[in-house]
Amino acid sequence: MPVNFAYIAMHRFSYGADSASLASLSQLGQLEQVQGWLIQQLSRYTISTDADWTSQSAIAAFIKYRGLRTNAKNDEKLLENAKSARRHNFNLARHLAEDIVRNAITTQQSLQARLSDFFANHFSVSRGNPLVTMLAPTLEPEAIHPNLHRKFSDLLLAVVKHPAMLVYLNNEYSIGPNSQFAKKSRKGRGLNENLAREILELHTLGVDAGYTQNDVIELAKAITGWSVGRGRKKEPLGFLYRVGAHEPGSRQVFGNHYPQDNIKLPVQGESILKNLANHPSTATHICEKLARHFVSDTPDEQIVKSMVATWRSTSGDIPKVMETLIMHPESWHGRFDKFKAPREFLISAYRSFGEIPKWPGIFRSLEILGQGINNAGSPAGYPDTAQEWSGASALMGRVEWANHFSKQLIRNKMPSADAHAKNILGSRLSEKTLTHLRRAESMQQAYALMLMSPEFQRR
Amino acid sequence: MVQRRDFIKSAGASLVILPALSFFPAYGVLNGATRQKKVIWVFLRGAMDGLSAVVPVGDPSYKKFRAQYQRKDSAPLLPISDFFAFDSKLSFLHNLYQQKELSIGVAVASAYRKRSHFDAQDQMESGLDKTEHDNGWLARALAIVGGMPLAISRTTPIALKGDIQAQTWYPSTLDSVDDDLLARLSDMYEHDVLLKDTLNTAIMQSNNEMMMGKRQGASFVNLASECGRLLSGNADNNETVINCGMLEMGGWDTHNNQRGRLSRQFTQLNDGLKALKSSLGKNWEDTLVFVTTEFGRTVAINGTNGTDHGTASTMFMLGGALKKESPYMSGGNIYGEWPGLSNLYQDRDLNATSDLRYWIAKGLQAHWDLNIRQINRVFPDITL
Repeated sequence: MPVNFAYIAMHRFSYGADSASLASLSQLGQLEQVQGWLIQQLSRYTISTDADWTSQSAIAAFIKYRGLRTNAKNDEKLLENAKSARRHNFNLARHLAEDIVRNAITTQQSLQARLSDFFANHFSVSRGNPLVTMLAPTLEPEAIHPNLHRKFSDLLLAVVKHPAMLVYLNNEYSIGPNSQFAKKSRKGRGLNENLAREILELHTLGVDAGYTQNDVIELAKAITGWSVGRGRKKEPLGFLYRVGAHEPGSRQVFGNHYPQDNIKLPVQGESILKNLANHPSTATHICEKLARHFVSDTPDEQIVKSMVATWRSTSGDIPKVMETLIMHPESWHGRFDKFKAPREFLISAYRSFGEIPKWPGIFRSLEILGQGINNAGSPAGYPDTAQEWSGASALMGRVEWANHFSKQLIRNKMPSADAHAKNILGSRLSEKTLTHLRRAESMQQAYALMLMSPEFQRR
Repeated sequence: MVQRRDFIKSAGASLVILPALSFFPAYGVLNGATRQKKVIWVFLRGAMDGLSAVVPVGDPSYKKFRAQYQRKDSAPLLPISDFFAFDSKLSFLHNLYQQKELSIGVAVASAYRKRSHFDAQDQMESGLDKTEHDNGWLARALAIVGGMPLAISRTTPIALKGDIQAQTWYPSTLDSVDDDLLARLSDMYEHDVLLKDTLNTAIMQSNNEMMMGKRQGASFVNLASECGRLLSGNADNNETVINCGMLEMGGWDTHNNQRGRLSRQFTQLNDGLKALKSSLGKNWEDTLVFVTTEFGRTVAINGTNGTDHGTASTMFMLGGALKKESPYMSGGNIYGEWPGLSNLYQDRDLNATSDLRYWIAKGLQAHWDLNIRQINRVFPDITL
């Protein structure tokens, strides 16, 4: 069987086939043309949403909620008011979270939507206390989307300075032991290493890069004072560098020396993050992850090598690194060992039918399928290999979801399942699957079989 | 548009209170008392083998075709006449028949004579010789009678599309999937070791859960029971009473190992209809249920101990309403003419001797007092 480049472009690099992708790719026969179709998607990615929910509104809403909560004391009616305000804000945050997915379903920059999801998972923020829950979905549109077409250092800085990350990994109250605040403050307040550790371990160098506990402490000190303003006394609602909390002095991180330039600005931390972003270990760590996400659970070494080379020659230019991945011949292999993660499965199912049934909706569907939005429960994010997504109950959940989804498709608006599968899966569609689609006992069953077919589940 | 979940605030098995639906117009012309009478359609998707449900033991050719169904160890059939007998699992239906609360239509089919499930199902829902996807037979009947139909499904089925408002209801958890889909998936994964092994483990786990009674949200028995509850929930508002229900049950496409599969299917169907009667309570007395399938199956057993797509099948009419004497339809009867198995349609299928819409029409005449002109609006392509 000849390798179907259009199939790979849509299913391996994008979120599956929708009618617009099918239409454009049907004009393109050559591999280079198909690669070009992907590469032109690597530009500024924006989403449309009517959610009206930003990190600023999240912080403001949280402060208001907390005020209600404090005033309520033990008054049940007031407590109920506070709870209802909290629920209302959670719903607004959830609306934005769903809109991000909805855009991934409808976008013609599907590759960029995938890449955005990759980095949102790379910089994973999980729901937790009310403030984090309200902030979590704002990270992606505010810090990731504006930087996907830039350098990794831009992305890293934007994410680390974003309120969602600062609050999630407890940096907002991290205080230098010798800072002005520490001198004035009660005992027990001081350095919090959480964010610094995850930056080194997860966001940049990777766990085996050879950094030490001392590097963690030094980085943590460098980003002391990186906090979140809550609108008090002309404070902004958002990133706030609190000079008084910053640890004075020079830093030594992973072999590099950083003098105390201008303590009035967060420049020390910024220089360290920029250097970390361009470190060869970071390049390898992230290029490997990218190749594993897009191309194979066990990516070819040569692909990763080429990507790392590009990373180093372009100072981590994300579109260039992605272009290298796309242009590498081994990225177009015909093994299809990637098993779609639930989110990919859901989005590609919605895309291929052009329908988003109301119930259970995007948010709840992802919970059912095991990849809830902002719910990885760990800053390491969700796993990315077949082994980890193909558990028995997860698969049954997927079958049930596909069965349910199929029953909601408006029967007479849809093409027959076998014709649709031929369209969506092209020459990947096997005789075996096709036979099953034709023999299904109802069109609904045929759609469910199509969605659960190996050709749709793998890519 | 009213959302299903706003409409019926029910998560599970508790009795549901329906809000007044005064904003829905009353469409019908019939008087309130008639409108209160309920019609439920149970659509068996996948083509039920009628010969297995109501076995023509008296047909001289029967043994020739279905010899392997006469094993000594199989449970005895439940006779209803010298000629016909119910499958042993359909004991509730058998009881109803004896109490004159059930009648059977034999050798019935729609006008559809090809063998695609999808087209046949759509056509049956539409109830027309030429399918119209937004024009269903129940909707046409409801437009005359008034009241409110309720489909136990995620979306409005074709049968309830038309010049009426229809409601849908479904349990609020994802349903467990039927064995048939799982069996097909397992076969489809033949060459994918990871998926195949994982699915098999998943099926085992799921069976254990089932046995422990953890999940039965969308079993036919539960859906039927809920249907009965929902139809019994609101008798105070004549204009918007839910007087019509549509239930579906899949899993009838028994191309292989038909004996065991049908045994489970019949058990579900039998228990489901029993649950329906029970949850309808006293409303059962004013209820008429039609049970039909899109077409029948081949008379001969195929190479995998199953049967393939055929033509005529069997239908059931049941409900307390059938106890009443009526010139049109009543209980304890076998309707339709038996064509015999010696002469088959295209040398493979049971011949259809009557259109099943004819028997539905008779039922509607008896139950909803529809006159000939009204029947013609419901089923314009048949003559009574």
